[in-house]
Amino acid sequence: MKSLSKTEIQGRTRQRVVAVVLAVASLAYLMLALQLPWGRVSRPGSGFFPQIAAGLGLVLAFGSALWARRELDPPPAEYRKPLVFSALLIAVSLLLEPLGFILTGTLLTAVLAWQLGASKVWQVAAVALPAPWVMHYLFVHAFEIKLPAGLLAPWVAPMLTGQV
Amino acid sequence: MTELLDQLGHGFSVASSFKNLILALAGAFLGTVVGVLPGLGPTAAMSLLLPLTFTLDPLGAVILLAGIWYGSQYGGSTTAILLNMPGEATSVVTAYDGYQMALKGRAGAALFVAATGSFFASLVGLVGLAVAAPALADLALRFGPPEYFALAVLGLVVLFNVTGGSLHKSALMAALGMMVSCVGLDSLSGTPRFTFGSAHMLDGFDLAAIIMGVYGISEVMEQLSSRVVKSADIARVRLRDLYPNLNELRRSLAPIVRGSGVGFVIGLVPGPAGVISTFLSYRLERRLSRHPEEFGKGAIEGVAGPEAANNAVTSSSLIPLLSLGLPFSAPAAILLTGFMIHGISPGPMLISNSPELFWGLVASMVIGNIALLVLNLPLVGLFASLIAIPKHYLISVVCLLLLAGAYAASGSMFTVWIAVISGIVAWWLRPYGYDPAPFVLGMVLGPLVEKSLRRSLAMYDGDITQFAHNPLAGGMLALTALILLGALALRIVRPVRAAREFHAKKAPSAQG
Repeated sequence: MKSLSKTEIQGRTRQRVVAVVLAVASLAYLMLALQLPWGRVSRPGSGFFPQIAAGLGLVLAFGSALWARRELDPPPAEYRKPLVFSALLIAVSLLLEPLGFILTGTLLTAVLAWQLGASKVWQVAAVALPAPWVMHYLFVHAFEIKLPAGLLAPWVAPMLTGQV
Repeated sequence: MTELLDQLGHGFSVASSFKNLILALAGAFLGTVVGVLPGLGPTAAMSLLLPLTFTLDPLGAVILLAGIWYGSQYGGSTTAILLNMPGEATSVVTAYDGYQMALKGRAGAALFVAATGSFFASLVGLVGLAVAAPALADLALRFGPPEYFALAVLGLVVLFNVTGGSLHKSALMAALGMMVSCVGLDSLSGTPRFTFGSAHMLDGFDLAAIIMGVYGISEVMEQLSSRVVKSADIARVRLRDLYPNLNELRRSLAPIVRGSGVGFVIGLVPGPAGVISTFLSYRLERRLSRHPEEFGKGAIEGVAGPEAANNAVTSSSLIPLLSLGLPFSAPAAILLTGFMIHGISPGPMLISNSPELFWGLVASMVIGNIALLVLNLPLVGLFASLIAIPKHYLISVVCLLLLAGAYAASGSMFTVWIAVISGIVAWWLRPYGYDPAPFVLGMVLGPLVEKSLRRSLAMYDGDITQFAHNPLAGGMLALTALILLGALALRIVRPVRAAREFHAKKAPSAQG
């Protein structure tokens, strides 16, 4: 039998970890689904389909863990930027309603532009300052979609409607 | 025939209103822009712009979304030919010969053939859509829950086999999608499921927010983790160079016709039909060509066939969506979401109950395709130069749009959190071969599978053998079983054969 290289073993282990996480999620879902009524086969209850779907998911996830293949697509070249982005998204989601779309949008675009290689302040400002205002105007006035105004509420609405 | 023309005429009168014309042109233009930019596919773009359709009327919403879809097929070929940088997965094959033609100074001819081939194929697909969808919808009116259950399951199983990834991972993603689709009030009994007492959860997870997460946010994260696309020198194309010579034109005609046929048929099959159709068309052209040795070195047939194929797919994949309500691809699922946001369920009743919606969409696609043909060739330089936009500007604006869109989906933070979490999870799963498309389709088809299964069982008084007595449903379920068994057999046979070949190769060397 062909022996596996270190990279192949690492690849298989990672595949297994992912499959086990999905199996645990399916199992947790199944436990909750089991609390719903199964009904009878001639008159299935609200738990009938979720239990089948979760059972299928559990079996397939275990199958993925057991038969994890050696080959693995190359993992992302860089983890730092996506992780910073994830943290940024969570922070922005927490701040969106208290600060409002324009301020959080400015924060999001400024950090992202800087992370993506905009080295000069004017490069960051070129996108972070106008973009949230334009987007807010488009959503609120052109498409009539409500976005949170937050701290800028007393100023944003009159400025955008030209009442100032 | 007269009725069909009357209906189409009605469609044109609806689609040519000023607002709908603007939406068709805007969609086609945005689609082309998206198609040009590598990494941002039609699915991501449609998901990004989904919130903008919330306040549009249903026809306007689907006209805009469909425009982005077919516009991106045109745009993808531009950078594939000029820069060897396919904007879309469906343009990868075009780059093989298109870029070689550009190196030989024939970029203009390649672009012209790609655009006219795309246009012809789109028209063929739309004629097929106009003829086949109403006929299929009439047939589907006779479908009951067992037939719908069998059709949805068959669609999912075919999808697992063609997504390119592993069968069990696709099936697992679809199962997870179906699990997520169960969250909220049970549509048959009204029982809350997995809501944890939250009022937000009673309506289930918002499909638009999940789509924005798995395609929008995860795509941005993928872009952040991959290497930066460097701006390249763009081959200059002058208007007078855009015409192919007589020989190129003659060689392109048959591949365009064949590519349209291949694309139309493949578009009816669940899965990434666009990509599959381009590869099939390329293979077919190479096999039929008198000069197969020219393929990969600048054969115009290698551009004409695949470009026609991927455009025909867009039109024909609307047939199962509009006549049966079954989206067989991720962009079709987003288009379905566009309908559902406005309380409309595509299916057999759509064409008879809302003819202006169906025929208006068909007519708008004809108008949009004409606009793309007229605008794309003169503006090819402009579109190609978009690739030089610095990534930090582009991604930042895309993220802002995602944030606004996710909030707008429900007007609350709930959908923002759904989009963020689903985006992070989808990005984490992606390198391990877990494709988001089966998840989204599982989520979209889950309610249909559940409802039709439960109703069928109630109809049959719990006797599942009754499925076999229904010729259509039984036939489809038998076909599903055959496909699954075939895929499993291949899974067993392939490693055995590979092991045999390995030992056969090893034996002589050991003896030597």
